[in-house]
Parts: sequence; C-alpha cells; structure tokens
Amino acid sequence: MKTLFQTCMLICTLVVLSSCGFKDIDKRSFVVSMGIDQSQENEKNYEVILKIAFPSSEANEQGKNFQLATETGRTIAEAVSRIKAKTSNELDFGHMKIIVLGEKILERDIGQTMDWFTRRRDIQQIAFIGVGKPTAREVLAHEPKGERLPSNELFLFFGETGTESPYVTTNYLFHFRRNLEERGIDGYLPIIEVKDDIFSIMTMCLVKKGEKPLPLKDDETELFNLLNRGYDKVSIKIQGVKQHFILSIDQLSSSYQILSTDSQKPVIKYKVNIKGNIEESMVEIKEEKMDQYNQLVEQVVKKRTEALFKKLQDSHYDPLGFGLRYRANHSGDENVKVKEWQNIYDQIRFDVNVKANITGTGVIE
Amino acid sequence: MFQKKKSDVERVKPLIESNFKSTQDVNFQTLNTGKEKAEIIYISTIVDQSQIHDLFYRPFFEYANLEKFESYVQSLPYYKSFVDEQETIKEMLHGTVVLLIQDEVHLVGLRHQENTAVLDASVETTIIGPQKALSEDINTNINLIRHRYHEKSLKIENAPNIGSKSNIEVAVVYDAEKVDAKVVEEVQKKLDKANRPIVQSAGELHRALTNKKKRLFPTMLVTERPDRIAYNLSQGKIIIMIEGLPFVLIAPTVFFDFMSSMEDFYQPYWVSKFLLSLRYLGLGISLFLPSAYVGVTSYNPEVLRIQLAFSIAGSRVPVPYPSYLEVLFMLLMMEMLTEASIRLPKTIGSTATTVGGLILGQAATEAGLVSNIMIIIVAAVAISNFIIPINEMSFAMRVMKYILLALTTFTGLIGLVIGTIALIYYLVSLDSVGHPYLKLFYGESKQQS
Repeated sequence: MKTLFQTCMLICTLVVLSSCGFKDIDKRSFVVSMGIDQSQENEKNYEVILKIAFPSSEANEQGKNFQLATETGRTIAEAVSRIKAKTSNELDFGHMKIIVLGEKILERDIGQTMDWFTRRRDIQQIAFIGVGKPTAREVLAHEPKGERLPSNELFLFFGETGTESPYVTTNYLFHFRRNLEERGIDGYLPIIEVKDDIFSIMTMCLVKKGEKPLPLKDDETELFNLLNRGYDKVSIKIQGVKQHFILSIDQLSSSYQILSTDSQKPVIKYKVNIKGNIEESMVEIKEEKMDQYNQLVEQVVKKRTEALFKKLQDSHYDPLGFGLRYRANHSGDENVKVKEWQNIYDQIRFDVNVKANITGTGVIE
Repeated sequence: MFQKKKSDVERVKPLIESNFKSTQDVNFQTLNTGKEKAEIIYISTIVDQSQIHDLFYRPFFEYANLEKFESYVQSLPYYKSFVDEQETIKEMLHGTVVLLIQDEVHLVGLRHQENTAVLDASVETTIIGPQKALSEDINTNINLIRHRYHEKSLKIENAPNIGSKSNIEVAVVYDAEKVDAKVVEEVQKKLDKANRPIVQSAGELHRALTNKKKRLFPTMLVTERPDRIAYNLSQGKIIIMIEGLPFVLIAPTVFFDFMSSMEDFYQPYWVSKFLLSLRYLGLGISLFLPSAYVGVTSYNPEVLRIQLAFSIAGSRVPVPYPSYLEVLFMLLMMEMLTEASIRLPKTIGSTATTVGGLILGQAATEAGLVSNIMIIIVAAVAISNFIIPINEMSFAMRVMKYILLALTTFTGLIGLVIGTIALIYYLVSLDSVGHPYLKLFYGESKQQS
C-alpha cells in the first residue's frame, strides 16, 4: 500500500514536471524557409528572414498563412534570437527545408555564413539550398497561386516529387557543405528568381571558398545536371547544317578516366552514352539515315561538353570533382597531391567521347 | 479384517446421513426383497436417473441373491472401490451412487452432466475450419480430442481436484511420445501445489499455476478450439482440462503462439503469411501508435512530413490540453466503450457503439476537446487491438500501451524506444513452465531434419 502511494506521488510530481522538451506541436512556429541577405544599413551585417507558417484547421489553401520575420544582426544567431523574441510560439527549425542565400551574401566568405547551419543541431542537413536573385527576401515573399503550404512550391521544385527538370539544380545543405570543405571538388547552387510572378530556376552558380561565384548559363546548367546526375527524361536540341531535331533522352550515363603519366600531357577521357528517340523535327526524318543522326548527336554533345569543361577549367572551378577522383586514385601526401592537381588541372586536355543510340524516329512509317 | 470391513458401513452410513439428511435431492433407499436387504444412496440431481433403475433396481430383484448382486455390482464398468469415508463423500458430490450391501460399501460412478452440448466457437472463430468448440463437460471434451487425435500414445491423467470448495476435476492430457517428461512433472507439481478455494475458469487456474502473483502477460494459452488442442498435442504440449469449462490451458507456450490463429493452417501459404504480418502490424499499431503520437507531436515534430505536421498542428489548434491528456482521454473513452460492449446484453450492444463511437467522436472534435487526427489514431488502435487472435494477449497489450504512453509522455521518443527494449527484456525473462517464453525458432527446423 505504501509503495503504491509512493509511486502515485512520484507520478503526480512527474506530471507537473513535464520539462522543456515537451512542447506541443501547436505551440511551435514552424520555419519553412530561411533567407539570408546583406543588411541594407550596414554592409557587414546579415539580414535574416524567416518564413513562419501558421497551421490552420482547414486543410486547403494554407499557402498564404505565413509571416516573414526579419531581423538584422552581426551574426545569424543574433538575428535569429531577436526574431525569437518577436514570436509567441517556440521557433522550430525542424521543418526548414529551404535556405536561400542572397546574391550579395555569396560575395562574402561563404564558410562563415554556413557556419551557423552546421553547428545548430535542429537544422535539417537535408534542407535545399539555393541563391535568391536579386535578394532572398524577394524569393521568400513570393506567394505562388494555389500553394498548399507556404514554400511548398519550392519543396516540389527541389524535392523532385513534383517537377523533374534538368534546369533545376538541387543541392542539399550537407552536400553543399561537403563540397565546400573538401579539396578537389567545388560547390554549386541553383539560382532562384521570381519572374512574372512565378519562380524561375533555370541557372546555377558555382561557389568556392574565398572566390567570386561563377554563374552558368541555362544551357550550361542543363548539361551540367545531365552529366552530374545522369538525368534522363530530358530533351536536348540537336542542330546541324541540314537537320534540326529534338532528341528525347531515355538513358544517359557518363564515366571518365584521368590519365596523367609524366611523359604525356594529362588527359581526362570522358565517355557519354546516350540512348533516346526523336521527339520533334524541323525537317523530314528518314529511318535509313539513323547513322547520320547518331553522328550528329555525338558531335553536338561533344562540342557542348567540351565547351563547358573548358569554361570550368579556365575559371578554376571543379564542381564534378575531377580533383577528388585524382586524389582518390593516387597515393601520397594529401597536400602535395592537391598542389599537383592544381598544376595538372590547368593544362589538362578533355577528350570527350560520346556514343549516341537513337532507338526510333518517334513515328511509325 | 472382517472387523474392519464391518466398521466401514458403520462409519460411512452415519457420516452420510449427518451430512446429507437435510438435503432434499439426496436419496436414501432400502432395497428389500423380504429376505435380502441393501441400501442405495445418491444425490438424485447429479446422477443419471434413467440408468439407476436398469442398473440396480431390476437386477436386485432378478437375482434375489445378495452374493450374486454384489459380484454383479463389482463388475459394472463404473465401479470404484471404497477407500475411506471422506473420499466417499467427495465421490458422492461428483455423482457417485453408494451401495451398502451387507457390510460392504460399493461405489458406482453414474455421473450425469446437463451441459454436454458442444458449443460453437465464439472466441476464436475461423472462416474455414472447424466451427465447433468444446463443451462444458470434461468427458465430452476428452471425447472430442480423442476424435481429433487418434494416437495410442495420448495419455489422459487425472490430476488432484482443484479448489478446496469448488473441488473441480482437472485432467492433464498429452502425447507421451512427444512430450517433455520434465514438463509433465512440473505441471503436476504445480497442480498439486495450486490451492485456491474456488477455481472456475482456465484463467483462474492459470493464475494459480504461475509462480508470480502479479502477471501481465499470459504464459499459458487458453483456447476453446479442439483443432488447436490437437495441433498442440502433436507439438508435444500439455493440455490441462477443467471440468465445467469449454476452455483448456495449453503449456508450455511461447509468445508467438498467442499471435497465431488456426486459420493460418487453413489458408494458402502466402495468404497466411500476409495475415500473420498483418497481425504483427496490428500489434505494433495498438502498442506504439498512441505513445508515438505524443512523442512525435510534442517532442520531435520534424520526424513527420511537413504536410502531415501542418495538418496535425492545424487540427490541434482548438485543443486546450497537452497532447498526452488528449490521448489519455480518448483512449479511456475507447476502453470504456469496449468494456461496455462486453457487459451489455447483446440486444442493446449496438446502441453503445453508435452512441460512443459516432456521437462521442464527432462531438469531441467539434467541442475542441480532441483533434481530428486523434480520433483516427484511437480508432486505429481500437481496431488493431482486436486483430490479436488470443484474447488474453490482446488484453495484456491493451494495458501495456499505457505504460509506454507514460514513458513517452515524460521522456519523448527516447522513452518509447527504451520502453520497447524494456518490454522485450521483460518478455525474455518470462518462462512458461520452465520453457523460455520469448523464443525464436530460427534454425530449429534445420536441426531437426
């Protein structure tokens, strides 16, 4: 009887002591996306924008139920703690899936900016990260029509549950950080713009610690994503002298080898295999001429790929991680290897070998 | 020798008379042909009266000779020899006819049981498979088992009667070739030791047989299905039968026995595997869902998909109490509904479910006491709890989920994980008549072959 009483008392006291860990879901403010801009008053300060969603009991059309909380501070943590004082509920970063960096922030030391994200335990490392053009605020403030949740449209863009497009570059926070820290590979970020009231994510930029970011054009972005992630379900434009058609790719795979013997000039042998069929043509397509078409595809893709690689090489960017491969394949002191690679990369030659296989003309003759 | 026998009757007769004189249904009768005399005593309500006339009255007058009649009585199939006067009284209470011929006491068992009808299976029903369960008569039950298990090694042993007041017959049934002799010994030892004034159900006997007084999980299986009994006999298990009960106890058992239904054997392989996995899924839902709800909504909402997190948050907005009170309130309501529908007469049973389930659920959300999601969770818990085929186990799991809920309320999802580990530890520590309770059978079939 006595022990029963004691346990009852214990439980009663424990109920009163439901600690700070316990916080009901409706007493939390969910930050769905976060933007970081440069402060307008002081160039050195950050302006942090949090998009806080309000849950409501009606399931549909919650897209407009949000609040943009903005604060400036010397550091991100400072700004966030100020925002905390402005909201009635507990700020919860557990569902923050989008991080948008303002264009101007990229010109600063990116390592310093990313520091806060890597230290906080409640930041999901699987958050998508991108660049807001011209500012992060503009991207966050945009309310697309018919959005079910605030920022849901961006989740769909990047999460590939919705659209799958080779123009949309997806990068996760953990991946971005890894690329930044690792020697031999560089980071890349998609550029998010709001054009005519809709999101436009067509281009990307390459990011490296301590250097200016390098923006890529939309066709370069497309090709980069194709090679980097082996995207299929893509159409590319093939333009020759006589022919002009669109190839819809069903399968694309690429592999490469770095050959750097002392006697020869170092070479990266890059192989691309494309399988697909013709989606649209400006001129008549003949089944017999398939070999010609294949050759044309090979030429066009080779030319584009080599141009992209040349551009990357000239600006000393290496987002595909050739350097990392070099380091992995060679033994020796890491610092020496990194230096070696920097020399090699400047003079390396790209030997792109494309094999195209058009399986059909898309029509039954 | 002669002196002693003479005293048998003299000792027994006054004892019976003093014990039963005032009872109306006890028959004292003297058979008298003029020359020869014999006395017959029995309790008329529990004796097969239609046979009494044929077995005793007629032969007595036909033989008209006490010697011959005595040897006739001794060769009756139900004849039992006299032990002592206390035993005689006990036998009489179990439907034995006592004959006092000259100086000797003869006992003839002529028990008559009213409820020998074989009942329909109502607790463990199957769609295809035997539809009849056991009866409330121990002999009928043994008959049913014998008809399902034709094996010469089938042994039926009478255990000492259980309960100082109820004095109920108990039989231990096993296949002597398959069974582990140690287990039989263990069971009999336990039956000897079991002392309770009244034992009327298998669950009660189970309670009396286990060492631990406070037990949550059943370590012996209570079943009403003759096919399950036959199957378990073939697996070397022991069946403990109790007089007056359409249920038997099976020992030793493992946890997985409680999750199996006889239907598993009657369905095609993949169907039964599907049903089995469904059952474990149901077990998981009914055990973990309420506490997982509290843990996820109040400690780690980032586990959910954002869309779900928002709809939960949205539906919780009008709820004034923290999530654990909401869960507790709704679960208690559901338990009451379940209890009520067991106790209610069948004719008004559906009223309770309608009032409780539909009106209460609807009104509780509209009043803002609980969230919509909570109603779904409670319904899922209630339904999936009934998927567990053995009733005792589903009751145990019903209690268990509150322990997990309490742990999760105080410590979050970590508590749920630790509670689950503790539950597994506890189950491992249990034993069923000396055999491990939570035992995996991995590789066992390979060893045998």
